[in-house]
Order: sequence, then structure tokens, then C-alpha cells
Amino acid sequence: MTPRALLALLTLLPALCAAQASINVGSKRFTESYVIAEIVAQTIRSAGEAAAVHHPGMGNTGILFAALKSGAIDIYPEYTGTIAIELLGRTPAATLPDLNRELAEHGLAAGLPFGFSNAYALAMREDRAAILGVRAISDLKRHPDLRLGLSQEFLNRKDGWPALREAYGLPWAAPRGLDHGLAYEALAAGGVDVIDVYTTDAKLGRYRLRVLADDRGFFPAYEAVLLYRRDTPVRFPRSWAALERLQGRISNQRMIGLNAQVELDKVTFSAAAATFLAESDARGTEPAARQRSMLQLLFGADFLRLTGEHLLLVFGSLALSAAIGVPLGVWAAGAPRAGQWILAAAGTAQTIPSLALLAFLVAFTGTIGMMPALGALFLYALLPIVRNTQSGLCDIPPGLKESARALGLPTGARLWHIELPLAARPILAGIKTSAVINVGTATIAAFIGAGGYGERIVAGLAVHDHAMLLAGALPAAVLALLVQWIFDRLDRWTIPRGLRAGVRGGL
Amino acid sequence: MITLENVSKRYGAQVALAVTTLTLEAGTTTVVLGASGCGKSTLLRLIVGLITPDSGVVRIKGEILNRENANRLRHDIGYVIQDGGLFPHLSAQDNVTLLARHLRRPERWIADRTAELAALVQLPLEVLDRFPGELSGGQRQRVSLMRALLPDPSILLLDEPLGALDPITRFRLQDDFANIFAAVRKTVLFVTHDVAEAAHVGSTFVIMREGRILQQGPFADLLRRPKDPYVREFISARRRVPGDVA
Repeated sequence: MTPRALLALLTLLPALCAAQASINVGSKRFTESYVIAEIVAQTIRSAGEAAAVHHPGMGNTGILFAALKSGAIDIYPEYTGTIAIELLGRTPAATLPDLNRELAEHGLAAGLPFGFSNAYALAMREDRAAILGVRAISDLKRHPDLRLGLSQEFLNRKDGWPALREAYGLPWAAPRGLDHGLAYEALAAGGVDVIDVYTTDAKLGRYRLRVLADDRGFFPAYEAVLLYRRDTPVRFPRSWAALERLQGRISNQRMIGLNAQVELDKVTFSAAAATFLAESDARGTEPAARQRSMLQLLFGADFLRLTGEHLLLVFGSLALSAAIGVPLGVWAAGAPRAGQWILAAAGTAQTIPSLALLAFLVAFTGTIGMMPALGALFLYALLPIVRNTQSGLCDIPPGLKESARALGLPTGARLWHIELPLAARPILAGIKTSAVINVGTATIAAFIGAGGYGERIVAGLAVHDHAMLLAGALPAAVLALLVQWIFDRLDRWTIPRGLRAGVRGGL
Repeated sequence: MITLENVSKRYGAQVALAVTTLTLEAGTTTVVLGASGCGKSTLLRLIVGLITPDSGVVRIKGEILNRENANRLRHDIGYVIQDGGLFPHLSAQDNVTLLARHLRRPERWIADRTAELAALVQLPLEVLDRFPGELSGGQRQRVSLMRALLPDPSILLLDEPLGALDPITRFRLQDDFANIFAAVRKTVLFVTHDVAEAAHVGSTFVIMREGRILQQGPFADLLRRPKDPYVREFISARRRVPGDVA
């Protein structure tokens, strides 16, 4: 590919990624949210009024809410309890009209209850609970030796563990944090005794578990509803009418079934959603699990979009890093004292864990998606470019630098005609390193809804689907190799002929 | 043309150069002689402004060399170093014409001047298409001299330009360089530690030791009226080849 064609492709990418008149549907990073959002997206599409783009697994509650307020998405599935407590700081007793009065101030609204409630509950193995005689949460007080394994979100949310502990006077100070996806296996294996569950968890139907009674009525109802921008029903009346027909159609049992199809039978979200919508009577007959081949997964309908997003993430941030990193490297080479600080700063950025950096940038920019992701990748790509530019310039033989000065060339001309071309090889090597690192790091960007191949990895992680995970990891690996190959070609084109192998160095 | 007044340069406790006075007349070829580390290269680097003196002044055509006028004055100075100092990423042609292009001299002038200088240093024009890595040591020095002469400077500084060449090439270039200096009539300052080479290319001579000038004058004076025992020792430190009748 010629550099000109590459440039043209890069310029076109944002246009290719942008949708026409479409409704953007978001979802959180767990199966149920994916499935409901997929049902919503397919319902919109079949109404024929607008395109629907599902941005799967954008992040946690805070990120989705921010995305909704900013208009990055128009709609996403949420729960009444979460809206009341997490988003509005209300008591769980607040009714839907109460919530809507307050949401209106943000230009948002909640509605269309689906008919199931995904509340928190605590669960134990049936056999163990029977032996210990634990029926309700208050019974736990008598067994302080039980091991709790709670999800990080439950441990940290206001209506989660801290409030529960206080309400029941539970003895555990700091229970173990456990990934929710692993909790059931840990419980079944006896690694922990009590876990937090959602009342629609797929695995509730598969393991012999006892859901502990909430005898003090602590857990509020978590009715599944749609949280949306108020203008959506007005802008898309036909789509909205179609969505209204979903109201009350999904019972708790039905939702457990849908979750189980995806998590345990490995049906895709979209297939599960499609089967649900196709069955008009929707009474219990489980659809045959449709297994997908690896190739179908790899080159699924989202392949081009994900590739476009991934390329934009990698090369958008790389262009920025090169535009800023090379001048910084020049500065560092010219002023050794400042150079130490510049390199230290770029090095520090490199050591920040990627998720922490993303979280910080989401807070800093007040938005999610492309912008903070580009910011994080830009920071990661900076160090190799700055360091290679600096060392490349410092490694130029002093005789050549003096010859350039003795000629009477001013600083700018020396840099442009002599020093940068002589350091071209290490500088390009730095840019290549950054590009390859970026291809890998860009997969993390899916955690904040920036898309790319990471979207599949995040989805795969969320539902323990290794095939899905691979379908994201493989193209990323291939892209890394491709980028490496392209840069090796570029080497021949950009390195001055006199510096290439075969032509001996002049000094 | 070039004068140094009370110029000193130290590196830590080491005195690299301490010159009370030195005047180089316009149009003469002066050879600076001395052992390694005597300060000859420091002298040249001071004149071209690559280093600044700790005290004293360097005057180029009456003008005191400083940070502001250094680049302008350098355009009137050609500088050739031992390895040529050619930029490996540029062809010989581009090395030669780099400064002229930067100074936006007309293309026609550059082409004429290149051809004229190629003839002067006896280089076939097609050699100029090669990169420095593809040239022989002697060709590199000829190209380097072309680069130094291209803007037609009035001063030419050469820091052991023939030091890295094999004896036959060196012998040939000594003749050629001597002829070129006679032809171009510039103020030439030529640094070497080879006494025979010095006698061959120079008209006046400066002998240096430990940063100081011991004697300045024609070669006959160094030979017959040495001002210092070291001058006699340096000039006569040559071996005769057995059987050499000359």
C-alpha cells in the first residue's frame, strides 16, 4: 500500500465509522444487559424507521449514564433501584414517576418495564445451607466463620455490601472481592460459602443453590426498564411504538432462560434476542442452541466496523504521539536537563495501569468512547517515540554535527536536513514499537465503549465465551503482525538511501 | 584577515590554547605544525566558532566573532576535517550543494560552480551521484574540499585533511591540494603534524606546543633560526630511508 493510499484510508475511517440516522443502544458489561439491548436494537430495526447500533458492554453504570447524558447513546437497559440510588441518590422506595420528574432535568426518562426484576440476593449451596440451617440473611450472623465472596460492584456500591452489613449487623469487615463470572464456580467448588447473585442469573437454574430470604426487606426492587433520552420517542415514534410492545413480556424465569442460552449454551446475544422476538407466544419453549463456527464469529457482521474502529484508535493516537513525541524528543536531545524530566514524565505515563488511566481520562474529559481511549493510547505511545528520537539524535557522530555547524547552517536547517534524517532509523523504530503496542492496548478501549476488536474480548470475558474472546484476540494479533510488516516496508521508503545496508556509513 | 588576540581556552585545568597574538594575512597558506594535542585543532575550531574562547577575541576580516555573526561569517569559511565530515545520507552532489541551496543561490550558478570545482579537484561529475559510503578515502576528501569551496569563501580551514589516507593517495593529494591552494588564492590554514607535507603545501608556518605558538615564519627560518630547541627537534624528527640518496 502506498503511503498516500494509507493516508486516504485513515482520513476516511471516521466517515466510515459514523452511522446515518440511527438510534444508539448501549449496554453494560454483563449478559443480561447485552441481551436486552440486543432485543431493543432488533426491535428498532424491524420497525424500519431508523438504524440501530448496539454498543455492547460499554462499561459500568457511571459510564453508561455519562454516555446517555452526552448523547453518545440514546437508550440503554437499566434497573429502577440503580436509577434511584446510584444515579439520583434517592431512596429505593422512589416510584417510576418520582424518578422521571428528576430525570427530566437531565433530559432523560425511564420507562417500559420489561416484567422482570434483577435484584441482588445472597446465595449458598443448598447442601451446606441445609446442614447449617441458614434460610435467611439474618441467619448468617450465627456463622461468622463462613467465607463470603462478593463482586467488586456489590462491595462498593452504596446500596450494596456496606448498607447490607449495617442493616443486618453482619460480622464480616472486609469480605473477599470476586469476579461475578467466577463466583458460581467458586461456590460450587467450595472455595467460598456465600456469594451475591442477581435474581435472574443464568446459573441459578443450573446449580443447586439456596437464595437466602431477605427477611428484613433490605434489597429494593430492581425492575428492568429502559433509560433513554427524552427526545428519542419524539424523534422515532414508530420505533418507540414497537418498543412499547415489549413491555411486560419478559418474566424472571424467561430472563434466566435467555441468560442461560447465552452463557451456558453459547448462543450469540443477537441469536438469543432474535429467537425471543420470533416466538410470539414466548411461553417457555427454549430454542435450540445455535452453535456458531469460529469463522462465522471472526467475520461476523461487526467485523468491518470493529476493524475500522481499531485502526482509527491505533493510527489516530499514533499520529498524535508522533506529532508531539518527535518534537519532545528533539527538545530532550537539545536540553539534557529538561530531557531527563521529559523522559521521566513519558515513562511514568507508561507505568499507569491501562484501566486506571482510562478511568482517569473518562473522568477528566467527562465523556466515554473514542476521546479518552485515544488519549490513553496517545500517552502509551509517547515514550518509545520520545526516547528513540532523543537517543537517535544524541547518537549522531559529533564530527557530523560539527560539520553541519561549521557549514553555517542555522539550527532549524541542521535539524531538518542533517540530524532528523540521520536519526530516521531509530525514530521510525520507535514509531513502529508504539504502533505494535497500540494494536494490543487498543483492545482495552472497549471497556469504555470505544469499540475495536476489544469489544469481542470484553464480551467474551463477560460471559466466559472463549470462542468470542479468541474472535477478538486473533484479528488483533494479525493486525499487529500486519502493522509490523507495513512499517518494515515503510523503512525502505523513508530511510535515506545512503544510510541503508549495502551503502557503508560515510564516517 | 584572521587575527587572534590574547585568546585562551581551557578544558578543566588543562590549557588547550594560549595565544597572545596570531595574524594570518589574506591570500597566504599557513601551515600549523605540532604534535597531537598541541592545540592545533582547537585553534581551527575557535576560528570557525565551534568553541568559544575563555578570554580574548577572534577577528575575521576585522569583525569580532560572536554568537550572532557566527553563521554569517561561517559562510565565508570553508572547513575540511580528517574524515571529510560528509553527511552519509546525502549524495556527494547534495553534500556539495547543501549550503548553496539553503542560501537560495540560483540553480544555474550552483550547477556551473559544481562543474568548475569538480574540474578543479579532478573528480568526474558522475562520482558526485554516489553516496559518501561508496567513495574512496581520497574521493571523500576531494568532495569535502568541493563542499568547502562552493560558496567561494575567502578563508579555507583544513584540519589534517590527508591524515587518514594511504601513502600513495596522500602523496597525490598533497600535490593536488598545493596546486589548488595556489589557484584559488584564499587565506588557507592547514593543520598537519607531517613536516614534509607542511613544507610542500605551505608558505608560512606556525609551530605549536602545549597550546602555545613557539615560532611563526617561513620554513627556512624554522630550519636555520629555531627560537626554541623543540622547534629544531620537531623539524628534524624525520627518518631517512636507507639507500635514499636525496
